[in-house]
Formats: sequence, structure tokens, C-alpha cells
Amino acid sequence: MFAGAAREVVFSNREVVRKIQQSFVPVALKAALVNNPPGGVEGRLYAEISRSKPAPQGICVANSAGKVLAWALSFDDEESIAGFLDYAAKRFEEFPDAKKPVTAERFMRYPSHKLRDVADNGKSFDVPGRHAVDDRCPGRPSVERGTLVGRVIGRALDKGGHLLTDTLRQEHYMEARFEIPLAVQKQFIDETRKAAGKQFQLPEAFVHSIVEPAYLGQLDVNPMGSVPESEKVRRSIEFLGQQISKDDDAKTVEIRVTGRSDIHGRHSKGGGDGRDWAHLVTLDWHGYIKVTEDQVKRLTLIAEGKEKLRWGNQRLLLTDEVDARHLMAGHPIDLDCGVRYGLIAEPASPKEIVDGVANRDGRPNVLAATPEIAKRLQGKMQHLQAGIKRWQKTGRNPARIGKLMQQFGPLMQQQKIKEAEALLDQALELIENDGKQESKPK
Amino acid sequence: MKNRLNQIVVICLLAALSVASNLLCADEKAATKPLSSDAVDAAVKALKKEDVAWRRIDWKTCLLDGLETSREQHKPIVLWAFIDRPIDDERC
Repeated sequence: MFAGAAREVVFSNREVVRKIQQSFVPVALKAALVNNPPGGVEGRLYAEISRSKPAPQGICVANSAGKVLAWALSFDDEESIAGFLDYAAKRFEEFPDAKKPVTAERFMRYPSHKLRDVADNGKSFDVPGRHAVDDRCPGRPSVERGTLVGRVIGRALDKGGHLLTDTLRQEHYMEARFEIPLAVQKQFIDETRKAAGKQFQLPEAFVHSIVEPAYLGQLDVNPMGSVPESEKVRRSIEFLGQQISKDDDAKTVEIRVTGRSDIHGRHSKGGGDGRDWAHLVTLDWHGYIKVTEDQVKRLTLIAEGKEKLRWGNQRLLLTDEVDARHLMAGHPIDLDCGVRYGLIAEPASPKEIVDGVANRDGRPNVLAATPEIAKRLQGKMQHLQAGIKRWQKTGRNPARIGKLMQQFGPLMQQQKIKEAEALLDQALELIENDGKQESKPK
Repeated sequence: MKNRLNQIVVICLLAALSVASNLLCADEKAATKPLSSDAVDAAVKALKKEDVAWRRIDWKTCLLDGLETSREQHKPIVLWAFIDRPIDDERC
């Protein structure tokens, strides 16, 4: 919940937005990278930020060396948010870089509830100004070639069926990205071909990708039961398609799609943090999908229906505190209204494409993308292992090889394949020369 | 005489209701007719609001870029560690 509440209460606050735009450099980081830093210099910076974090998600101000000056998880009131920024800006004047050690101050709630400070560890890094040409930033989205990338927009309707004007709260207005992998698109294309112009049922995985993001509210209230501490109560989805046209070259066909989805989810019983919610979404769908021989080229769908969402445990419902004081819990929701959704999706743009399976940190997995390199490295590794065993049998000490290979793991982690292979070649040369260099007197 | 007038009023009302009902049915039929591909496209685009409060901050997503800008402009960086990509029009 924290991220949604932070966006609504903190980063939509007019004075806070003005202050950040004017006097700060705003950087949004994926919590997954802060909690599990990737390799390389950037990973060390993430680790430095992570070292003082009071919770897996949060807001902090840091200096130009990446040293945290202050964390805040919530605020006494709305004025305290700007107050926190002023306070951190003053600390920056005193500690703008790594020249002087600085403690990270941490606030459960600024300014009244302070946590223990975290001392500087004395480490500083030479921070490069940008990524090397072959070094993809872990903050950039990355998808497989052929992935269909879409955006869903959801709006709550008033009693007269008009769009609600509020766009701040996610239970009234939501936008989200969704992706449909190439393999799932191919299932849809196969069904289209098999139907040969007749009406057909859309494959489950394909419709699941469409229906799944169409709900109002924060991530936690996904009614499909696919997020932690949630469960599905009812899920009924049926989509039908029928080819309606074919381009002159017969390579692109258009399919008209109609469907109905009825989803009911809620918090799982015995959930850990006392969350209490239920969510029902019933939608009628209508739209068009254009496909070529092997890929979906465009998908446009509109859905209308009803949505009922309740979020908030007893404590949250009874409190009259301002939202800034309990960002972790969010605000209570009691929604029961008409809704409208729109989806548009097209193949991923070239700047998002990585050839190969993306790693958990968003980096492309170079080895998955280039199996011939993976096979070559594997062969060299086996050769090296056999050589080390041979050395051990003959009483030679392979310590030098071990020392040399210490860098192999970190280089592979950073996807520096060329450098890692060069290291491997050096080790193999040592082995193949049968330790001649090793035994040479210096 | 008064009863006769009442009967006429009732007949007129029923006739008016019948006309209104037919008109409503016609509207419903029009509404359920499938929208064209272009109409669906336009309907989806009409849902999006560009000027939402949470899109007014120019967030960077690269830590190296953020630190470089911080050094160049002598400004502290505000870091928002979040679960996914709420700055990229994303649900959070």
C-alpha cells in the first residue's frame, strides 16, 4: 500500500511537488533493487542506500555520493512533508558529498517519531556519470522481443454513468501497464487459425492477461487472488472471437472480440498484517485484435460493468488521523459503482527490448540470449575443472588459479561476459602451460 | 363529463408512454450495436487524463544519472523506493 499512498498524499501535494522540482533531483527506485542490490558500482550504491533503510519501501533524501541523509516512512501532518524536505536540504548543505562522514537519520513518522540513526561506514565510491554502452540500467524496463505491451485505464462512474473527475485516488482512476508474452499471443493466433473464420473461444492465458489488470484500487486489492495475502472467491471469464477482415496481402487479420468477466477476490483468512478487504469486478468486454502470422499487432478493448471494493480494517476505519500519518496502511475504501476500462496494446518499443530472458533485477540475461556463448563458457569451465583436479592429483597448488578466478563470479553477475571469458582463458593458459609460469623462479 | 375527460387523459398518457418506450428501446438497440474499431480506439483514449497530480514530478529512474545531476546542480536527491513503477503511469 505504501507506494500508492505515498503517490496520493506525498507526491501529489502541490507544495511538495514544487519543492522537489525546484530544489531536488527526484529519483524513483524499484524496491526490489534496493532490497536485493544488483552487481557493479550501481549495485554498491543500492546496497549503501539499503544499509540504512527502516522498511522495504520508503522515501529518503541522499547526497551526491549516494549517502542517505534522512529516511521517512510517514509524517505527522501534510505540512511535515515539506518540513522533512527542508530538514534534509539543510543536512545536504553540511554533507553534500562523501568528504565528511554522515549518519543516516530515520523517521518512522517525521518529525515526532525518530528511529535509531545508522552511522556512516566510511566507504565511498567513484560513481560514474552514466552507464557504459553495453551496461543496461537496471531501472529501465526490459521485455523479450515480441512482447505485447499495453496500458489499461480504469475509471469509476457516478450514478449518472459519467466519469468521476477525481484522478488522484486509484479507486477512482487507475492506469497500469500490462504485458502479453509472445508464447501467449501464439496460442491466440493458433486458435484464430483453427477457427477458420468461425466463432472461437479465446485461450485462457490470453484472456487472463487482459482481465487481470482491470480493477480499481492499489496493487494489494487484485481480485484474481494472485498477490500475497489474497484469495480468489470466484473467477468466471469467457471471451469469444471471430475474424471479421483480412488485409489485401492476407497477412494481417482482424478479430472482433466480446467477453464477460466476473471476478471476486478478498484478503486471505489469517492474513498476517490485519488487512481486511473484498473486491468484486463484473465487466462486459468488446474490442478488436489485429494479428499477423506470428504476432499480435494491436489490441483495443473497452469494458463496462460494476465494481465493489472495500478496504480497511477496524483500526483504519475508526481513525480520524490525516492520511500522511499512516502511509503504510493507506486510507479506507468503500466503493460500489459503475466502471469503464480501456486497453490498448502494441508490440514493445525497440528501446525496451532485450534479447534474452531478463534477470530479476531487470538486466538482460546475456547468456540466455546467446546460448552459443553459454555453451562455450561451460566447455571452458569443464576444461578448467579437469585441469585443477589434475594439478591436485600431482600435488600442485592451484591457489593462483583460485585467486585469479575470484573475479569470475562478479564479472558474470555484471554481465561482463567478455571480461569473464578473458579471465577464464588466462586460467586455462596457466593450466595448459602446466604451471610453467607458476613454477618459474622470480 | 369529468370521467370522460379522465379517460382521455389516461389514454393520452398511455400513448405517450408507449412512444417513449419505443424510443428507449431504439436507443438501447443502438447502444448494444458493436462499436467500430475506430470508435473503440477513441473511447479508450477518452478515458486517459494527462494532467494528473502525480505525474507532475520529473522522476529519473537511473541512480547514476540522478547522482550525476545532483553533483552538477548541487542539489540533494529525493529517492522513492517503491514496489514497481508508479512513476510510469503505473498502479502502485
